[in-house]
Amino acid sequence: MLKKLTESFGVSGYEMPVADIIYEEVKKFCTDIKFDNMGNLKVFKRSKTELPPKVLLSAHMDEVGLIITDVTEEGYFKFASVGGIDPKVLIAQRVNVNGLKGVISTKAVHLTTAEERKQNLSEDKLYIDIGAKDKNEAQKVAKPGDYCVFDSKYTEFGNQIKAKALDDRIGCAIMIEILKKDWPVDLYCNFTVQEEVGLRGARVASRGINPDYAVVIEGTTCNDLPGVEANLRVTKIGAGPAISILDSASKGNEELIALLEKSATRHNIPYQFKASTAGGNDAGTICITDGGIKTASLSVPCRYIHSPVCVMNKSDFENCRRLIEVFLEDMGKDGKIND
Amino acid sequence: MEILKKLADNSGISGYENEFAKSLQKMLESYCSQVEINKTGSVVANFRNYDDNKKTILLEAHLDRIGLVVSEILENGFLKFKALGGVDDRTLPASEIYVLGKESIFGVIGALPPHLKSGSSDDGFVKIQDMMIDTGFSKEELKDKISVGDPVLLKCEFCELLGSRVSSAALDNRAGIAAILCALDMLKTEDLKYNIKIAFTVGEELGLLGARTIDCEDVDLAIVVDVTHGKTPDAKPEGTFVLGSGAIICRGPNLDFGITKKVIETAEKQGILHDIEVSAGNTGTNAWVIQTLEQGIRCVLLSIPLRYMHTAVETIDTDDVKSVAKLIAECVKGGDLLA
Repeated sequence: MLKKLTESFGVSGYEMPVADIIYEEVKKFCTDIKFDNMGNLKVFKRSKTELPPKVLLSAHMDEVGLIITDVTEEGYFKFASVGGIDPKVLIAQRVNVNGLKGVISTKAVHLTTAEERKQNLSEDKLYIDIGAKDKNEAQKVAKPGDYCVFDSKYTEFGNQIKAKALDDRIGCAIMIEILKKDWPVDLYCNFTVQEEVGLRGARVASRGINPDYAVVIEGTTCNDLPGVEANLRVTKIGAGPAISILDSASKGNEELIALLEKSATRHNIPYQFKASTAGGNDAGTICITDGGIKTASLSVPCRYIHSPVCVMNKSDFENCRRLIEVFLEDMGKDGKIND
Repeated sequence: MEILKKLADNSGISGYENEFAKSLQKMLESYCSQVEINKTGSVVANFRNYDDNKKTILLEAHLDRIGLVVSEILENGFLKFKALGGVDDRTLPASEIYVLGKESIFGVIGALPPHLKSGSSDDGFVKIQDMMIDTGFSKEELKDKISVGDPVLLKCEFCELLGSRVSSAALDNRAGIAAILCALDMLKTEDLKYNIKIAFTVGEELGLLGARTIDCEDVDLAIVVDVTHGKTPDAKPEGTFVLGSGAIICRGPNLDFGITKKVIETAEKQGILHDIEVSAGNTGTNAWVIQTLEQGIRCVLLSIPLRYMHTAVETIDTDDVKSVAKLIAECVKGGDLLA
């Protein structure tokens, strides 16, 4: 499922291809599924127990990508990035343009000056080449406003997995797994749109639910490379899912973090705290919805996120899924803390 | 196209060409009376039967491709590396690679995500010596798989773009080899006025090494086939060629004035698409070395326009390969090239 999800297409603003895959899968075991006007996919699974706690899980479907802004006379596409992309990761890469391949590169090293070779290229200097002979031929393939994604296959290597869009197809894949089973909580699962362009989808999707707790499932930054000081590594791959205390968009709810920790400890699941306040996710908007929702983020560490080659560890993914599962079970057993 | 795909998906990194040389030797055996690999590792052959009374034309193309080499194995299975041949540092982040050790190991060249950049280091330029390959293995696990000095292949499978355009790593100079093989195919039943000798040489990207050791004692003319720069929006227009403009015939002190003129006339007479490139001194190709072998060898240089040279996304128009093949065949099969 993670392979299918990461290889599908879903740049912020055009998430339908990935939403369709999720819908087709989830409808096999859920009946209460709806799309809202923004394209958020909202699934509800009622508990079979009496007076169950209400839990919202949220993961975003969208990925960072490119949008075509112009077609040049020579038949190249100019583009802008949708979400945060460092232009460095675009050079000498392939992209998928409406089902066709295109390449992004720069003039040959032989044609550059020593000065140029020391300067990063900005997005406006780059263009997509699909092999079109002229503007007319290129326009038949794509128009301004069409989206492109990285051309990157899901690949297992060493003890890790490489794919594009692990942020946040990880969360989508985990929620699909969770929805296959019944839980002793009233479970709301929101597959949201437009996280990468400003947490837009979750703002709308989480309204009117009034859950007791909300957990955002994410792929987060991981910089555990040799030479990087321990305190700058953010998370460590292979050390379990990361709980965020504070990021640029929100502060994790202490009560909910305590519950997650309690479940992790009780069931022997490794976890870590995200050691950086950089970046923000849908928790930032969910925690201020409808007068406030107790919200926390649980993330799988991903190296090189927002690039074509995100890398994660299989055991972190499994432990993240397990932690959510035991959390839901414990929640049903113990009830809410402030009952 | 098939042959080009087969050639481009082969390794043959400069300095590590053995396997690829052997497969070229096999491919040539169907056309040639004698094929051998010389002491330097280059493939040398006589096309069909050699006649002592005829003059001899050498068809030359380099068989190596640029790559990287492992220089250090670090904690957690990260690798430091150096370039083999001219590589633009800026084209490496987020590349997928294979380390060709005892086993072939997949890996990625990491890139820091935009979230972790502070305002000041935003333009931080990453030099090749600061980059690392992520193999996904531990240092311990890597011990029996790879070692320092193993070559690293930039991974990018052959892919078709629009029309007759294709993209792949290593089209420099697999495109040149494909043109020669195509020409041999056209000549296999022709009456030949000249002996034809073939040399696919090693180490061009490391300083035109292989071309220095070809036995040229009997050679009256060398036709060197390589790639030249394709026109792109970011390169200066002079000295670069639109893809699809045919065989690019080079003129200048490195090339024989009279014979080159005859080649141009042949292209005109036979209606073969072509253009003229001017090189005022060193062409940067094996022609530069071959010209001063023995008592001096007359050289002709034919090139295929190629965009984004020395990246994983080199792009050509296969029609240009065909134009070069046709021009070679027309020039060598008869006429008065060597009066």
